[in-house]
Amino acid sequence: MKRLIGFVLILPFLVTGCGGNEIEGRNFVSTVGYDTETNNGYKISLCFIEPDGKDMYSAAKADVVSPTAAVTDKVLSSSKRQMYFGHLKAVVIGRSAAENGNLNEILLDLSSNGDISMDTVVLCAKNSASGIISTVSNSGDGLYIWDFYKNNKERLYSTQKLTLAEAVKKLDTQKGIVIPLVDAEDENLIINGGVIFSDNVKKGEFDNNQMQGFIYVLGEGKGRNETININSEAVPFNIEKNVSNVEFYEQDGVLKASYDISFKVKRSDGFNYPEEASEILSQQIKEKCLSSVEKLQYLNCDALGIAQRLKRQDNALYNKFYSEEMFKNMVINLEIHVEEK
Amino acid sequence: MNFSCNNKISNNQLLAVIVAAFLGCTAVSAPLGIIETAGGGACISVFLGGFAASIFFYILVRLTGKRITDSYQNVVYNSLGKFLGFLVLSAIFVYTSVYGGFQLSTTARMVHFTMEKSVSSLFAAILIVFVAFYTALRGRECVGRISEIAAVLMLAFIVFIFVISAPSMDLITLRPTPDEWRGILKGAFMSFSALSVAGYVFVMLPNGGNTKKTAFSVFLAFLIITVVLSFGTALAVSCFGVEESKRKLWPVIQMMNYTEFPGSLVERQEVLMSGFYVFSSFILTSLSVHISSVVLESIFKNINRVFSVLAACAVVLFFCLCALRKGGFEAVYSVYGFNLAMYGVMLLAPIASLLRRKK
Repeated sequence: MKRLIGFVLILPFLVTGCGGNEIEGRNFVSTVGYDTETNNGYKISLCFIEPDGKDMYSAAKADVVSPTAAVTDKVLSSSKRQMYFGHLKAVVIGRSAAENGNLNEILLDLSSNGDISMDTVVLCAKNSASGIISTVSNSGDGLYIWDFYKNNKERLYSTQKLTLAEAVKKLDTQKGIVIPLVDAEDENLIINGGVIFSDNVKKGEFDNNQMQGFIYVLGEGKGRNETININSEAVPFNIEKNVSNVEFYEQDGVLKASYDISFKVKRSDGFNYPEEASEILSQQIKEKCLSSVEKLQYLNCDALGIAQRLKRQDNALYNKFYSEEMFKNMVINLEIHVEEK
Repeated sequence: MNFSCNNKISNNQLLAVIVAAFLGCTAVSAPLGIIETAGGGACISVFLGGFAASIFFYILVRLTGKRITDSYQNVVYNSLGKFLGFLVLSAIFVYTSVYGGFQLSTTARMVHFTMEKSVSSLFAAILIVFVAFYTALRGRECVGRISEIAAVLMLAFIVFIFVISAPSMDLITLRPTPDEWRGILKGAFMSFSALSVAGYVFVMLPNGGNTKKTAFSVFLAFLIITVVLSFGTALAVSCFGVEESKRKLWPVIQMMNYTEFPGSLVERQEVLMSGFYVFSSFILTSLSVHISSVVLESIFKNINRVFSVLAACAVVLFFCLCALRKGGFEAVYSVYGFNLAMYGVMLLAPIASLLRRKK
């Protein structure tokens, strides 16, 4: 019996995972980009980190052509190193893939991959994803996008962190999604604005102001700065709280949504604030919010998830007004309340 | 705490056994079909079904507990006679081994996919059965003591995860629509059935005769599982949405990876969660092997203890191998969802009533 117990206790030491690839034998993919410029399916660009003996690690780029959007460790057949996707930080959808309606397939393939974290950031490139991946791999350790979101967590100005989980959830439940925009200029990455998707296809873009307005309507403005211009002087406010509530009602046979968006803001030190500063701020925020909502309605892109909200909040009203054009035809009122702390 | 070596467990240990063995396993297998059936209101289904199961088991233990002063197996024989007793115990043996084997196959797959891909599912299953062999051989007191440690660790970790995840919960997704209520009630029944597999805790009941206290321990254990499970389901649906939760194999476990730990202490926390799940599976496998072996001993008198435990291990492993075969995983889930669990309820209810009538 004692021998048997001894044997049993020794066995777990065999489950150490040794025998697989060592760290030096793996490439750690940090960013993946998708373009559909070829006739053979996807052009997948990978920015990966190669651990080596000298500098510990360095970033590199590789392009592969694949008939599907799925990425596996065998995606680079020419390399002996295993491609490991367990540390993937960002996904970039190229313009061609966005315009060809490949968003859903790409995101679903990624989310079904057990190695890939649902916390991976999703972005959309202004032009090719391959260009963005080149810039990322040339800018230091290949973790620029991840660092950008990690270090600016509370202070993102005109972009938001859209995770793979949120993106897939929105694709499943909403008739539209806004994906943060990324562009490369002179080897620098610029992350601001957004790309509007409706029915899985790119329909338009948000400029910085519209993207900010969109974030405020969603009630995700906490930690951001809103700057007003008075007499050519920039005066910043810190947004400490942003809450957005929506109520639905029917009036004269028309479906109406009334947004109540409230802010708690704080003035920054070292600036001169005129008396009407709060009012100007409120007006500026309202303009941004209105601009974003109007654009979404024009493109019939329900990125605010209004239909889903209405369905759960007031099912009878939803059933009465539901149609493909419901979001477009809805009257949306915005009430902005700014309170200074 | 019970420190004697008399192969008996206390009420607290019984509570810990139920929580430790079924918390992890039901968290993996239960929500899957329920989310598909109940949609956004899956957490309500889990809560309703779980609460019903808590009351069901409370009543069962209150009804039968006083009769189980000797071992459950002997009481079954005394109440039902030799032939019927043999049939019922054989059914319990098959049921326990099948459930233990299927659950083991799920754990083995999870070890393979989530934790270490170079370890094959079969090898992981064999190792778990080896440890279960030792625990089962030591008797239910050993299972009870290990569970006391495991239950506290698991609950502490899960509560921590829930506390940090709760503020970002999307309550709109969880709000049910009127047309979902039918699915929610169906899901509640599925949840009730899924928890009824815990029915073989009757073999583990303390023989103290304090039915009220034992019944309360069982009730509390089920209530804890219910609350944790419904909260976990709510978080998974809130994080991924209904459709993506349906697509995921282990939505509750995968949701853990999405939760951001304060200070980025742990990056792949789903592996940590899988670890707790495997711990839970160790206890469930030990419990399955232990119960199968004692039932085997009561069916075939004078059987050697080591042989009965080995035989139980072999049977559990056999069912695990069946489930690990190609296409077996889907079959396991389809059986899990409803049939196996319902079989548990049907098996338990008549026994309880018979025990009561024979008094």
